[in-house]
Amino acid sequence: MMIKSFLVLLFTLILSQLNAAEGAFNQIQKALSIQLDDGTSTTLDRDSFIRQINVRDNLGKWYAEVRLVDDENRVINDKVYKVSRKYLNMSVGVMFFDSLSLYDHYGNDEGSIPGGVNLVRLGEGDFPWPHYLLSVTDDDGHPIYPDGTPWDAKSGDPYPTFKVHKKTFEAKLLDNKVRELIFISEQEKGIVDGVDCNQETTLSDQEAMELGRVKPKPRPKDLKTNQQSPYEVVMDSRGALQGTNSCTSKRRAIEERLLSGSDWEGLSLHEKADKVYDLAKEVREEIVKVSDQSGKNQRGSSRFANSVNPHYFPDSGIKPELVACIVFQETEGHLNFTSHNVTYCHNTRTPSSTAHGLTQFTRTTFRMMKNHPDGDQAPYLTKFTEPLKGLSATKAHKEMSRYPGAQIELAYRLLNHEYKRAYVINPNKSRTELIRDAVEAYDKDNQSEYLRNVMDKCLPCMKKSGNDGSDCYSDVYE
Amino acid sequence: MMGVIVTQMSMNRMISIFLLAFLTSQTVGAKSYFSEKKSLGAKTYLIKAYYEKNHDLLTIERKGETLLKESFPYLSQGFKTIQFHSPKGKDKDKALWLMAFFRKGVHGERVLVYDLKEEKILFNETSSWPSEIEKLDSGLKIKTFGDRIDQSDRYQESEKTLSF
Repeated sequence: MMIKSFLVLLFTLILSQLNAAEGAFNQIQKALSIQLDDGTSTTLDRDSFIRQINVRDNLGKWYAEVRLVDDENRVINDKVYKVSRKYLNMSVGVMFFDSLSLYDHYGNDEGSIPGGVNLVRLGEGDFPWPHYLLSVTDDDGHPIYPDGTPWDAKSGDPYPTFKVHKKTFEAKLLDNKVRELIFISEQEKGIVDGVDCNQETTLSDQEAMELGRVKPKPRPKDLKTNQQSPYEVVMDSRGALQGTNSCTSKRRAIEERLLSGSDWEGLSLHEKADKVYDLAKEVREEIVKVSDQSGKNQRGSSRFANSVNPHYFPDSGIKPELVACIVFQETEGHLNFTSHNVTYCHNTRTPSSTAHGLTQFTRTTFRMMKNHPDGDQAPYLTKFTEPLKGLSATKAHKEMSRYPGAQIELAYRLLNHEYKRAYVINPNKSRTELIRDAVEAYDKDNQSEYLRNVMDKCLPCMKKSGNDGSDCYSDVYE
Repeated sequence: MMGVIVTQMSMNRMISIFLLAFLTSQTVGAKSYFSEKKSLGAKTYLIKAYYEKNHDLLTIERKGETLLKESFPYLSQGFKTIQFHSPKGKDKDKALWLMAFFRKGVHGERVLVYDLKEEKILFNETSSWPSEIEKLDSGLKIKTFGDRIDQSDRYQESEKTLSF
């Protein structure tokens, strides 16, 4: 009996983790058109209540599924209606007056959004703490990230959702209500300055905001703090530069300026090439040191298990010369750790790629490393990745634009994983062949100029004793 | 009395087996990205994308027969997303194309276009940077990127048009 009760409890706990977000209970603020499976549609009046269902399954689709409920969240009929996700977002969203901290699924910091941004409640749950699950949208109901970047469905990145502490969210909702009540009562008493309540008048936006009546405008474009990472600063300038002829040169100038304050400031291309190689050596030493400290830097009997053990860093594998060559290929012409990527200048709504830095890693690749189903392939154990601890993968990817050491470490970890994976597939391959496979995994394909430059030109040069980064960089690229 | 005890034990064992299976699947890292049935006329296709032991797989089945099974290393060539494209209006049953996007390296992309009606691959190529796809009423226009051009910030471009 006790065992059964315990197992039922465990089962429920596990289930609650799986279904961390139950459907949200929302009130409509604008009339909505809702549709049944047979194609018939009807209009739902403002102030009606709905419950979103099958939220996770439908994120990313054009529609959400809802049930009609009363003001106590009790279902009115047994029908399920489809409603446009964008229009639903605009209809049930709320805005707060000041910033709100956001977290990912595991409770890691995702940054915060300023006031005046549309927030849509999608659900709630208790893992890792009592929370509401939100999405953040622009004025058209399109989902965005905390920095304002729109979600690109084609990128393969999941629909952005965020957790917020229930208490915080509810306190802010209350704050909104209080402001509204203050406004209404002041209006009734005729207290509002400069407003004659006996006639129609228009408040300035500033006055209206102070009175708490009008939703604040979306975040101001000149909102800059010195907290912004280079990635964010470069992105902020995109609107003015994208699609123009001088985009690349202007973007490079910004990236170069962002080196100031670091010990890369003012370096020539050759000096940067030497610095890349020095950093690659330093990072590898540190990776091996922490791996050894973990006690798990051992080759086991299972090749597969070895390939997904991030602490196992074979001595025969990825070396600083290779990583330096990869950086040279990826950032040829500038070698700036603050760089964005070529798609920045394309005239698209957002850059189609989030790759950046010395190693040009996209957010998706970064996320996949962190969330590998067989274990995190890039644990933050060294002094280089220490600043990324506690951040969500999305945020860490952007923050990495501050830390060239972290960028290089992630490249090592990916190459190391691919080197070991190549060995799983064919243990008879030579070391050089395995390295070639790892580089091929990093790049597009095995016939490209990329592979030739890295494997056939740069690497042999770097291996010659006495050669430094600048020698081989000029050999291959100048 | 014995009957009651046996029933109790079987129930506990069933719960234990379930929990064990659940926990094991969590440890070995199973993951399903996409599972959807698509119909074209009388035919129904089951399309799945999922993770299995360091690989992402895409399968297309019809009546239990596997029409396509593509497998790519999870980290460097893993699954991104799936889209569908078909002609509009009265021609919509004329064709149904599946577009699968996978990563290729740290910033590249593989585009795979599969014709569900003809049951064949129409396009399967990689790009250094994400492809630019235009969905046309008559088909698809796909632009992919190759190697860098000299020391500029531009890459070789390839464009292909597919028609329904």
